[in-house]
Amino acid sequence: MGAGLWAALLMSVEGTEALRARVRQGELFVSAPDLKVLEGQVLDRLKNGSAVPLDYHLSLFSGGGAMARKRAFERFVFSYDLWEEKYSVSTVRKPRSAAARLNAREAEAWALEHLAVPVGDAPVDQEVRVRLEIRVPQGKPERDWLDEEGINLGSLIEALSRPQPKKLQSWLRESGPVRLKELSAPVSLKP
Amino acid sequence: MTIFRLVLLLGPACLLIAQSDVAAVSTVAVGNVDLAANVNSRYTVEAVEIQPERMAPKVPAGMRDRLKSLAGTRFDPAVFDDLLEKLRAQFPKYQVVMKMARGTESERLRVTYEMVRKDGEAEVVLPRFLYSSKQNFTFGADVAWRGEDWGVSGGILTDNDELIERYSGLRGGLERRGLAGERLRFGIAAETWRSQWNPAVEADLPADGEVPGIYRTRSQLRPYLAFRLFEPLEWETGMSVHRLQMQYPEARHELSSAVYTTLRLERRWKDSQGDGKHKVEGSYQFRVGAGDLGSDFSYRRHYGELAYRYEREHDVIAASFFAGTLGGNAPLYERFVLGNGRSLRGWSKYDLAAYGGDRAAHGSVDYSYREFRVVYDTGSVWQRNGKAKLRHSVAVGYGRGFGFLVAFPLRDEGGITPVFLVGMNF
Repeated sequence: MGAGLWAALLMSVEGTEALRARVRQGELFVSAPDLKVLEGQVLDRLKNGSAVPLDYHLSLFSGGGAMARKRAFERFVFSYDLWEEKYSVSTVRKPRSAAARLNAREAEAWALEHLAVPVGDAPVDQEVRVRLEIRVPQGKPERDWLDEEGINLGSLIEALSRPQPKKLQSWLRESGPVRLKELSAPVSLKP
Repeated sequence: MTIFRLVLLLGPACLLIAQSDVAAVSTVAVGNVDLAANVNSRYTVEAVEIQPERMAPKVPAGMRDRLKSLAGTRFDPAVFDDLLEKLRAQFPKYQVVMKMARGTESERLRVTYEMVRKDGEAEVVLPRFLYSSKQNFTFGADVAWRGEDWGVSGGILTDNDELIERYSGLRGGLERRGLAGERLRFGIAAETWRSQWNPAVEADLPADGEVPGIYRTRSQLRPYLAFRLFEPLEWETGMSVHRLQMQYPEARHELSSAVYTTLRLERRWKDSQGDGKHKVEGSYQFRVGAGDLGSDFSYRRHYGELAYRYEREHDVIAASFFAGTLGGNAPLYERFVLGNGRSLRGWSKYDLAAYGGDRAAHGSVDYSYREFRVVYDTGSVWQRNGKAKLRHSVAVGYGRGFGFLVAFPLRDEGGITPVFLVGMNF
């Protein structure tokens, strides 16, 4: 067992773990046990019976570079079974994968397990950083300050002063650097 | 040290659990339900409710029937989302959310549309803003407060676009809504304007007095009552009492009283695929001024308009048509105008009919791709004993809602001088 792995286990116990990465069959997967997305507003919507889509972006950066070397994107749709009190999750792209009768943590983990960045051609000695970003997708921004009745100054001021985009709910985990060859076994990356 | 030993002891086990947790719960099939839609779509709807209950009668009867008919059906998120959008469109002053909960029987759901009024706040609205290189600025600002049943508004406006005159002043109104199951509303509107006239108007007015002269000020009181006959159709009736301070031959006041009736229609719908939006608006108004109403002016005015708009992703196409006739001895503010920000863009209203016309017909086609816009206008304004001459114009510009247009009159002879228009909703 490598030093990196023991370091990871130590960090796990101390509760500072951010992303757990591994390379399997030329693809990089992550897991994030401390990341809880099915909470707050998302959970409220789910428990009201709505299906909630979440956009997952996984990016791989080389060394200190700001440009992502590889990216993966997937939209997952979560819903909550009001009678069984269990979660379901599915991908949107075909072929569609889905899982049901999960608890919240299992549903979150299932989504991450279905998100991977191909790293087959990357040098194994190269240091990389990994970023996971999850967002509640926003619809097309409404220009609600201008309609047939004219310009509503209150809405215009609100539109100009609101953060971009409006109250965007998102989660970000970024960590590394680490060498790819160290990721063939599960390794936690320092945040 | 103790912790470190614990880690050494439990570490590999923790790791194995961590590695296997996802695999252990991987794909579980739930019949043939489309999980991407909503896992609850395998349940049956027990009831559909509007909350608070007092809002239920305000929902149009057709929509209420549709909601009721969904009880006993399999929950289809697309159907319920569509109804949610329709309720939001029907009640723009309310925040409408859909909530689901377990029904009283197993595997049944209760669906509730919760409506919360967003009222209580005063709104400041700029209803008009337009600059025309031929007719200068038009600008207005209103403050409105809309309560549960009552609405109050007031504002200022200077407008050199809509009528022959530039009129500037104040306006206000009080309205009671929400009567007879949200079908009936009534109110009173008041306004007071100072009028300014282009020299071309006075120069062109017939000397025989057939058309009444110009006035310095104009004040109006307009009580009205409106009733929604059925879903897209509303009928309004009222009386408009204008007090005019005439300028010639000497300053004096005259009264222009008229009763009017208006039929108004508005309908919006979406394509079956939901990616295209349609909107149809139309109205017809008949106004009659008579001595029996204490009026110094006796006239009849008919005016009708129809507009259609289709919007899909980056494309918007709109077509509109209006026409009107005026008979008798009507004050100048009743006369028809073309060559402004909404008709025959590119022409000057003073070149087409300096003191307005008592006949008018106009059609327009407006196409936008993303923010780029092309407009074609055609129409005529003329006098009852004169001859109609059809005129055309084209305009190109940028911006939907708020933007600019460069408009070109298509003349048979003479040069083409473009008109620059910038503003909103023109």
